[in-house]
Amino acid sequence: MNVQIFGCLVVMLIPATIMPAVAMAVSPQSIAIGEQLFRHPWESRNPALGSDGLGPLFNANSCVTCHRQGGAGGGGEAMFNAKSIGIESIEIYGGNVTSVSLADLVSRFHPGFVQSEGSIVNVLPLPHHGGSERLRQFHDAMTERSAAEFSDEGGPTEAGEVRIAGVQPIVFEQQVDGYRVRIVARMFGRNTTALFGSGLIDAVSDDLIERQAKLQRSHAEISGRPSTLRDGRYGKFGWRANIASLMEFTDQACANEMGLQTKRKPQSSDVTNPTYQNTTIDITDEQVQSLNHFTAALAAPRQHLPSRPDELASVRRGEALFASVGCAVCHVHDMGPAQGVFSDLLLHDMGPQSIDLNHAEPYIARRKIVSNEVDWSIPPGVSVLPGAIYYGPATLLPLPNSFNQSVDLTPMSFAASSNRGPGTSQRPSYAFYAPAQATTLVAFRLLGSEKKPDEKTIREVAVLNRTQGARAENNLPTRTDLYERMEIQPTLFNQEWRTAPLWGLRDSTPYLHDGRADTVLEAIVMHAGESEGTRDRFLALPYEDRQAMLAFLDTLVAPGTRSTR
Amino acid sequence: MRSFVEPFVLQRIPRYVFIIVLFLFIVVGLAPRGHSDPELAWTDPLSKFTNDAADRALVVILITDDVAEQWPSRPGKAMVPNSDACWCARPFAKTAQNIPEGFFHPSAPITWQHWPLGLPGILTGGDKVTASGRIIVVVTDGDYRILGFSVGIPDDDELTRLIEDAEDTRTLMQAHHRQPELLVQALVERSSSRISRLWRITLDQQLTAMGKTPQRNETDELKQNDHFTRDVQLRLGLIAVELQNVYEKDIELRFGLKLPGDAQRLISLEQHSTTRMDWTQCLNPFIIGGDIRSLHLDLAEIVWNQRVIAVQPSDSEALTHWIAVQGKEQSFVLQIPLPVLAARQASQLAEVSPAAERRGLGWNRLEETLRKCPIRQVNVNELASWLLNSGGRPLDLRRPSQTRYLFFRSAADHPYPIRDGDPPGRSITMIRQVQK
Repeated sequence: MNVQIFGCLVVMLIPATIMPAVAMAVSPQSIAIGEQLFRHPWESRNPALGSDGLGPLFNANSCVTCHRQGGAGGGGEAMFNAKSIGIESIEIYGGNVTSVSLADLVSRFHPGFVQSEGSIVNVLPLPHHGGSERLRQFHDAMTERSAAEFSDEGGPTEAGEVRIAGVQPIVFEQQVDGYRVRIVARMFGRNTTALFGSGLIDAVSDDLIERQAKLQRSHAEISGRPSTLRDGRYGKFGWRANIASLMEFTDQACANEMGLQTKRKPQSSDVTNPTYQNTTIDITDEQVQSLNHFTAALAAPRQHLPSRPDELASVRRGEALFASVGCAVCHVHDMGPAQGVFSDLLLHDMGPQSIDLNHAEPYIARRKIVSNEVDWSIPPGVSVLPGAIYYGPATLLPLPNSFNQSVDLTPMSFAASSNRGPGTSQRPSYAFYAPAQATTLVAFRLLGSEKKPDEKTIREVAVLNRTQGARAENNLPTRTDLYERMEIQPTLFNQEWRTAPLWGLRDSTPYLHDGRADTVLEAIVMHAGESEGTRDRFLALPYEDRQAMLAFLDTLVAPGTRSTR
Repeated sequence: MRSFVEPFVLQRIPRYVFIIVLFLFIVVGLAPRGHSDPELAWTDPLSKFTNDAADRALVVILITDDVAEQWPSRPGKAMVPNSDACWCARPFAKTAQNIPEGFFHPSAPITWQHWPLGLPGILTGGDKVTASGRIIVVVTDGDYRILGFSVGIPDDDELTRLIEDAEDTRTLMQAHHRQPELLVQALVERSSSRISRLWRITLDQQLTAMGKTPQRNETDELKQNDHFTRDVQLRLGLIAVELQNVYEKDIELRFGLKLPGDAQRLISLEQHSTTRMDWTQCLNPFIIGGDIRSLHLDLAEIVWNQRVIAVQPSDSEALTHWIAVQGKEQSFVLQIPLPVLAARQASQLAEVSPAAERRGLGWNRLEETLRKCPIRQVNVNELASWLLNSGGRPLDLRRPSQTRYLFFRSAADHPYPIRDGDPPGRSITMIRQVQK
């Protein structure tokens, strides 16, 4: 059996979503195809598959459009930032607010917040391109209100504009059918991450991430935590570390960034065109696999040391200071196979200025399997397991008539709310405020259901009832439902971010999750929350020491880039 | 035996020695070479240039908050030559040495000067004063006309650009010496291309505002340096206030800093020239051509928002004479101007309750009370010289808050400082008692 056939068999037999890409035997051919696909400019309509191809909503028409700094697979400038709009608060004054009226009022701000099944979320991606004219009008209205300047590519023109967009509240006020609605929202952005070395990050085990978190438990300032996903795995990819594997990351990027529907992930839909449906997938599983193989094969960034002895000495000194002030507690040099990654892959509180309402996954601190024996006729609890959400989960707005839920089956967060009925002008009839932390502290995940084998079926019981009367009631058949009980520890999840890997730092401007920092110095000083102490120790260093640290960070370059700037 | 051993040793030793020597060569060759601290040839502040050299000269001035050697910390103390006269001499020299060879025009080498403007110990409580780490780098021609400046220690690229810009500016000044507004326009265009939108808007506003001020109709305006510098000085304070508002927003957005709470962090950050780069680019067009000898106090006070002492030596004869004229028993007041920015910004004065105001214990009443005494404005140079010459005790003009006035019961008395942060009622009561 040749290597290629064996490789294909491995790919078919083992779920790629579980197995790290680097551990697989990958053919150079697949990597080459992946590279072609990475550079391929997709177009709307895909005759080969009979699908709609690119879009209808997309941020770019190829991967390399955004992932380009330091070569294909690198980071992207602010102009390629993905953007979203997040609702911080809704206040409705007037009569009694119903689910229907709430959905109607929120739709006037942007219809995309209202999901097809009727739920309302507080964060909405604003893809740069595609969609109906009506949708574009909604998006244009949002960008105009943000006061920032946006490029033709769709993102803010520069880091300065990211900062302006981030602080400018977008206020929507309208009088509609006797209601007065006031929505305060904000625009958020996500900077394109460099993918170099992703295969090595994919190979980092959950055990190692857990060990890293344990190491920090006794630390006086730093307390990173793993990004706990609902299926039990730890997330490693994305600014929120909310995606567990590179394959899933690739899959989701296809669907979310380019509107390429995959076997597992539907493309983003245009809410103003609800009847539209893509007939089939836009990209085959083999193609997604090849993209994944290419990404996993991207070389890891390296350190480029200067040749001049005095500069080298300064870099060495900077590296020592990097450790001594405390940066290396989170920016850990090696994580198993990811040598030189400078990240612990944990989530850390980065302070209130870093808030983005596509929050981190709630921290599932404990899990326990519980069983529940119930009457066979009662339907099992719904297992809500939507899978990883690309930019991080949003918050569901509590619907006015749905507060008395007996069991919350989802670990998703519900917001603080009130529905006070007919209100005065001072007190809103309905209010929503985006929560700072998870409010649902216990959630369940249905693992399976089983009827007790030794018990009779309903039909048998019915027969017994007929023959024996009421005596048979005690012998009703039961079923055992097996749940995972998840205990959620509240954390400030809007401001928790994965420690950004610093490898390739020099070639990945701008910095921080939304590219608000033009320089490394700005990025360091914008560290807050857990890292305040470290930041202040850095600032307290003499000028030359600070420069030495910056010189050290400047040696972390993308693979294959020229040695000097 | 001996005859057997000796040849053996002789045969073996050279081989060992050879190996050891070779090893040492390798070690020495691989080891990083120790670099001695870079040094620049500093010239004295305000050195004069010959007419011929002045046209071509380029002077790079490091203005820092170090205390000049001429100032002892208290009367009677000897002036100690300070080997660390400039807190950033080493990193700056390192940067300057990294500028490519042949970059400087051979016929006009750069002159490096250090102007330490930190307040002497006699005005900061008498302790040994160490610089808090402030620096402005100004590039001038041989007549000390400003060609460009930056705040913070420039890195190699930034210093190179600063000098290149200075040479370009000199050319522009020669081209537009009769029409300074065209020079400003050209400099605004240059700055515009380097700054963010927020600052571009501000720069345009300043240019528009400048256009509204009447232009003097004189020939060779730039060459009449005194007039031109006076104009620059007049607009500098106004522009600085506008720019400060934008700068405070800028540092909040870029670094998450809020003043005054984060002032110390900002001092560290302003040692890096990128921090105030946009602010500098915005101010540059409006001060180019001005004489740094007249503008350095204003510029330093604006950037550091603290009092500084002039680089030119001054004496206290006039002040001594004025105090003598008041007579030995007469109470009098010395008024010390606030730093440029603080004087133009919202008041930092301690709040006075309405009840105290009604009882005549407010700031206005204090002003009125002080005006009943002979009052004279002094600059910090005069004050420091006079205190040192007259054997006065050290004062602290900055802590716990800015001192605006010094009240003297008599010439022989130690002054009573009236500070912004103190309630005025206490001072009024004390002064009234003396005045009775």
